[in-house]
Amino acid sequence: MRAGLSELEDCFKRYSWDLYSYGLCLCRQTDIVDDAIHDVFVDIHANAAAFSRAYDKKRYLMASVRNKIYHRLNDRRVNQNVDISDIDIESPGQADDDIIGRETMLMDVEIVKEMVSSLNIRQREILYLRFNEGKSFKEISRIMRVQPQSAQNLFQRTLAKLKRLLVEGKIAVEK
Amino acid sequence: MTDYSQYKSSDFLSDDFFVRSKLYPTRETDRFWDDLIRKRGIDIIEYTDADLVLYRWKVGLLQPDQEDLEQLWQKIAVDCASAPAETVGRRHQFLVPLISVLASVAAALAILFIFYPSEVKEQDELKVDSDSMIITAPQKYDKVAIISSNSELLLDGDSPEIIYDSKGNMKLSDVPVFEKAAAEEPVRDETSQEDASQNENRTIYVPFGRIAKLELSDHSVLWVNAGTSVGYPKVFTGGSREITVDGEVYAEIAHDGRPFIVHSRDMDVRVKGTSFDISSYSTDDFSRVVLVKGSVDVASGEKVVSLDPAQALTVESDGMTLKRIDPNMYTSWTEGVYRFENAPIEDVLLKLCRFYNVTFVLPKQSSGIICHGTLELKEDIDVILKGLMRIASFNYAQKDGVYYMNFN
Repeated sequence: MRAGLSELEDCFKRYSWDLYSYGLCLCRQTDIVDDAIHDVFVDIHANAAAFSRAYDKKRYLMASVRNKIYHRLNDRRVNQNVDISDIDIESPGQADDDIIGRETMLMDVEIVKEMVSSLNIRQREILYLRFNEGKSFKEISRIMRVQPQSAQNLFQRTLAKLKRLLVEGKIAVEK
Repeated sequence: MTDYSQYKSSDFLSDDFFVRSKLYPTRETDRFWDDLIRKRGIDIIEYTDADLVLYRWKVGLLQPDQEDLEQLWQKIAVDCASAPAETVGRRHQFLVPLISVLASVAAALAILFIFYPSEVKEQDELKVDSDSMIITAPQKYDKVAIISSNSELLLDGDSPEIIYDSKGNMKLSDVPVFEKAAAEEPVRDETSQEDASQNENRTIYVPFGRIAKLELSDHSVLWVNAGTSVGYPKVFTGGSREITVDGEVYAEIAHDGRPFIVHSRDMDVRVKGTSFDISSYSTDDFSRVVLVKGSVDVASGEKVVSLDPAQALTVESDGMTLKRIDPNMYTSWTEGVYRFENAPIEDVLLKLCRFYNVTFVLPKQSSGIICHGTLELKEDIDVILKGLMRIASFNYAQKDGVYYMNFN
């Protein structure tokens, strides 16, 4: 069974922004996200059975994109996210005198981006599912295939790290 | 109702209602939190802190680009419409890759590349080096050339065919020919029969970026790979048929009773009727013979080795190795396809640089990337590199036909 193209296009229009954001959150490389979303939709077009059975279309799409991206990242020679969590980045922006005294709310976007980059893939994923999708820990544990308690723990650890980074960033900005 | 009075910022962020009401605020949820703040039912600092974390997290995320999304949809629509169901999901048409990590250093094959520290960006300096280092087999012609003692024939076309009949008359496939006589010599008519009796030697020179098919007077057929020169007589006389090769040739030798000998830098390959591939670029630090069928004897230095079909003999400075291989891996270039198995990416790029006549600048250190799969060489070099780049995580920049690679 194949999905009609117009049906697919509606679906794409509706979810592609969120799917892309999710993909970028996972791997931050547009080419991989492009390919993943492309393949997910082309797969659905070729065989729509599973998709049409799916009750929650968005969840289905997110899971598919996630699978493709993880698959691709594993194919790569280096899992670029393996060790990054253990590297504490130096407070960025210290050398930049221009940003001294700026309001903390107006923190340099680049600095924040860098902070987010310094989280590893699972840390970014759990924050995304929590903060951008508003998922409960039970839902997150299903998506990330961990025990609910592990999801909680991962979240708390990640949050602590994010806050630490934000504080460091804040110091750098306000200094 | 939940008592939020003791909540720390991380408690707020762990609370589904808080997160969702910030994500999808409604008038009711806004009023709810405003009331709590006014009634001092929550710690305002912790609450603001949680809000700030959410805000900054979102600032730090990369945003999709609406235009990119539209383009992506166009691509999906095209691929859905054109792809038959069974090929759907095939991403890189020219490449079926699996890239794996090999920690071992494979620098030996990369010797032809230009090694240059990546931080040096002085263009002119690079240019000089690229010219002097990569084109070690001098690029004398930009077309396939057939050279005799007194004339040069330049053939247009990417893969011309040259056929000699048993009398030494030459026929060309339908390609434009530019004849260039050597100085002071009268132009000879290559296709006339008057020269047939004279057994002159010829050299065919195939530049980088081209392939030629050459049928010799004994009906043996040679596919001459890019950057290769082959010396051969118009007609084979005497007790043995002998040619010289610098570069790579796939040969299907016709059986005619006399031995056929291929001379190259490191070895002589002696055959009767057989198919084999010889790769012996004078610029490479190895030579290799791959036997497809029949039998060959390879003489290198003092040693003579007999090969069985599907064996490859590699001659390097520190000795010879004989191993069992899949001949297709080594002969597929004759069909415009390169196959690789367990090949360092440097090796893949080396093949590409010969085939496309481009220069690569690589970091000196081996990348450790190992490639398997098939590369179709019909595509533009940029298409192939972009495809490789996606799967093998490297970057490149191109300037004036020089490709600067950066493995990250």
